Amino acid sequence: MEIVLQDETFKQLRDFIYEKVGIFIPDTKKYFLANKLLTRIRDENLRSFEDYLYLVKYSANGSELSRLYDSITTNETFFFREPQQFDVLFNFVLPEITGMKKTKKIKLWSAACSTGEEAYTIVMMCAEKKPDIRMDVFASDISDAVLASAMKGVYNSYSVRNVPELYLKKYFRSHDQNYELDASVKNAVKFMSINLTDEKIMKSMCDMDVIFCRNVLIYFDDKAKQKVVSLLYDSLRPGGVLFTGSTESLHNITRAFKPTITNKVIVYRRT
Amino acid sequence: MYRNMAIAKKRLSKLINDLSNPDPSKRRSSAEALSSSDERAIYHLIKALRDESPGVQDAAMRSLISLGGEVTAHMVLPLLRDEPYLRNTATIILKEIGRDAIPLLKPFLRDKDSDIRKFAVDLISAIGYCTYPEELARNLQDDPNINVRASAAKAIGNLQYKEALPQMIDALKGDEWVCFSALESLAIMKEESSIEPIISLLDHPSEAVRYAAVDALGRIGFPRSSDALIKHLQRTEGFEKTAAIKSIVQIGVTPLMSEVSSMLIDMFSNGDWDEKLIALKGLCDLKEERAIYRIIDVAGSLDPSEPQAEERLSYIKNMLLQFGCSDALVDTLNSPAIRYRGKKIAIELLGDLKCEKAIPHLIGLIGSNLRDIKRAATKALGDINNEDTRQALVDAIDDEDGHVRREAVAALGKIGDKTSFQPILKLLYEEHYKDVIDEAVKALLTIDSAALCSHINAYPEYVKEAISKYSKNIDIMLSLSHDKSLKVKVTALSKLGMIQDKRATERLTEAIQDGEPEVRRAAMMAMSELHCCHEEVKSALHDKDTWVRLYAVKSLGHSSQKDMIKILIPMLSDKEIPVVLSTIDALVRLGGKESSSILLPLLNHGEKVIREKIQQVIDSSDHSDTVER
Repeated sequence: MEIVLQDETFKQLRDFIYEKVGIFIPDTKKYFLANKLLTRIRDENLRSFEDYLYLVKYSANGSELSRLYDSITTNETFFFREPQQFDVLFNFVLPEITGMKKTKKIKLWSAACSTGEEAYTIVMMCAEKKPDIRMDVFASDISDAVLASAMKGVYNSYSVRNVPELYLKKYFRSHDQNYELDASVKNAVKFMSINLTDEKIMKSMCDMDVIFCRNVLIYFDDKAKQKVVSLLYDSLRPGGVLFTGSTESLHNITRAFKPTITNKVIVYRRT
Repeated sequence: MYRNMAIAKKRLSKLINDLSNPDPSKRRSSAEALSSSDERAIYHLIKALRDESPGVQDAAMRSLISLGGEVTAHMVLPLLRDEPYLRNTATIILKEIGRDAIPLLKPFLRDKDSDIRKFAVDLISAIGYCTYPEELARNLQDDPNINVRASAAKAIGNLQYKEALPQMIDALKGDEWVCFSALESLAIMKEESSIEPIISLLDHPSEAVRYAAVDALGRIGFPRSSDALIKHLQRTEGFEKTAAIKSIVQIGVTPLMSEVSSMLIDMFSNGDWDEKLIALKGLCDLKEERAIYRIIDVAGSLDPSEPQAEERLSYIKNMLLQFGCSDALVDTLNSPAIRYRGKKIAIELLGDLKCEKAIPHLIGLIGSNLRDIKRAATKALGDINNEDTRQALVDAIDDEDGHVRREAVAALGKIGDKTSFQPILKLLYEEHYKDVIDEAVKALLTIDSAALCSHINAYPEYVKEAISKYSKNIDIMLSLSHDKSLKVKVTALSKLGMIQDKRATERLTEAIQDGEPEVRRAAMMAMSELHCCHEEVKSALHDKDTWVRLYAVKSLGHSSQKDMIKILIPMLSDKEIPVVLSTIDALVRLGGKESSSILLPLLNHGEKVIREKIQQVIDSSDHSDTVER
């Protein structure tokens, strides 16, 4: 029996997702969403997308919601992604912040961390380049599945393809075409489940010196982007810095940050 | 009420006072909070736009936008004459306010200051709505300032104000800057009558104008532009030539000139993604097989971590399918220069195309030490579904990779050869991956269902569950619906809803009374497919389990029996929202327009989602009344 996603149900699903997490799914992605949800529908012995909508809206423990988030985001990422941003972080941003604060303690947040590569990259680089800095690294995502994977710290060859040899030897153990991170790196990151559009929980993330929020704003429409960016601004301490993806821009989203360019990397500063 | 008003006034005062707090965080919070106030906050928020903290300025701007309305627009307008930062802020706010600002902008079109006239025109263009577009046509024709005229041309295009077409065409003869904007707009308006005037610009002395004309013809898209573009192609060079090719491809006519193919291949290789996709369309129209290698290579180099990659890949694959099963596509499998991801894509396409000439190459690739290649090759052989591949697939059942085993088993199931039965059965006993087990069961059921099910009680739970999922034999389903394993039982019951058979109905009727809620749920869901047994279903309306009640309601809703309405009305008081929503749907289905009177009292329901649903029902009922009249 063919299960078809009707336009009206698609709109209801889309509105529901938007209301919950601010992610907007355009009409052109209806086909992709349907494909991704069909597996869940069949696993639950459901008959239609309408039934699935009931399940996700009203399931007692909200577990289906988490699976829904997994299906609508691209979770693939890798270590040392956009390395020029990390270079700017360690060579310019951190010296400036520690100089201003007169302390070597830094709070850094990897928002929308996916499977953890970004946060772990920062931990490793800090150990190598700035061992005198005491960095509290927080990493968050909306998807429980990717957080669970991040905490395991086991990666395939695609994820580690950009890792320099030195780091690979020192911080990873390889077996069976997989690479496991050393416990010292895994233990240095505190993972948590955070919905970037949830004001209440975002208010608990405060006094951050640096926030990385890369390649996630693209999922939001302008209104949701403005809300998320405004909440990220409030999470930073004055002088704190936000990194977005190199193809992303806060132009037309906010003017609260002061953008500066260092070595061709745009850094947004809360003044 | 008065107390609430007093509290609100006190709160508003506090927030306004906090806009002067020495702490910028507090000023920002206040500015943000004022977004839900009213007109009394506007003046203060406008003052806050001059705050020294960008965070406060931004919050004030957002709040003014949120307040919106004519009053806000009216009070923000004077900022257009202020310093640049505030002018820009004002334009952002007015743009977001949108239509409410439009009546206030009209006088500015005749302002003494050309900057103000331009701001007004640009705002109207950005808002995309205007009740006086003829005024913009006047600006286009008569404004002494070239920038204002260019903006007016752009605005007319955005508004699609076709009455201004004569002025737009006239503007093509004027200043280059205005002509450029007019061309952009004519491309949006897509009027056939503009084609000839635009064609005449292909001889314009300015390269920028010629380029814009070429681009406009492509976007307007009428076939008669093609001849002019083809002639233009022969006398032009560089990016203008590229633009001409793009336009010709967009129109949909591709000339049979060998140099066009090469240019398209070059555009595909070196252009940005917009150009790549246009070039790809052209290459497809030409069936230019020389390009296949390059297309596969580019597709293979897409970074899967980029969000647009999935969509681009899908488009490329759909285009490549139009080439059919070509030698060029098969040859990519043997090219050492194509990376493994590109080869994987080629293999998938060959499978989709059921390309039999690729079989020997695919069999060879099952032995690859690249996991993705092996998997794709196995699947492709299954898609091609040819008996010659049987032995290679049987060998692949023993592969260490679960994905390969799964694809091999699925492929053998499609081929259906009985000699594959024993190897797959052996796999079934040794396999530990659920998806492989599922495929093995599916394949065995296809090859020889009787042989598989002859020892059904000896199988472990996971095999029986798979059999209950995929079998179409009612005796098997009935037997499994009594299995001691809950999972197997539930799966089998779910399937019985697809079988129109008295025994299936009887079993489901029995299962609705089961002590286990999951069993009752599965039975009720299945029953809702059969549209029968309403007496038994009625009893399930009082089940303890929400989902059982929900599906009972659904089932009765599909009964087409109006006397079910009385039975369902009490379900509107169910404690679970999904049941109430389902009941509303059922009543609408059964009662049609008359259901509105039944549902009206629920407009005061405590749950917003239910109130909204009722309102929707009433609105559609009103609408259909209006249409009928």
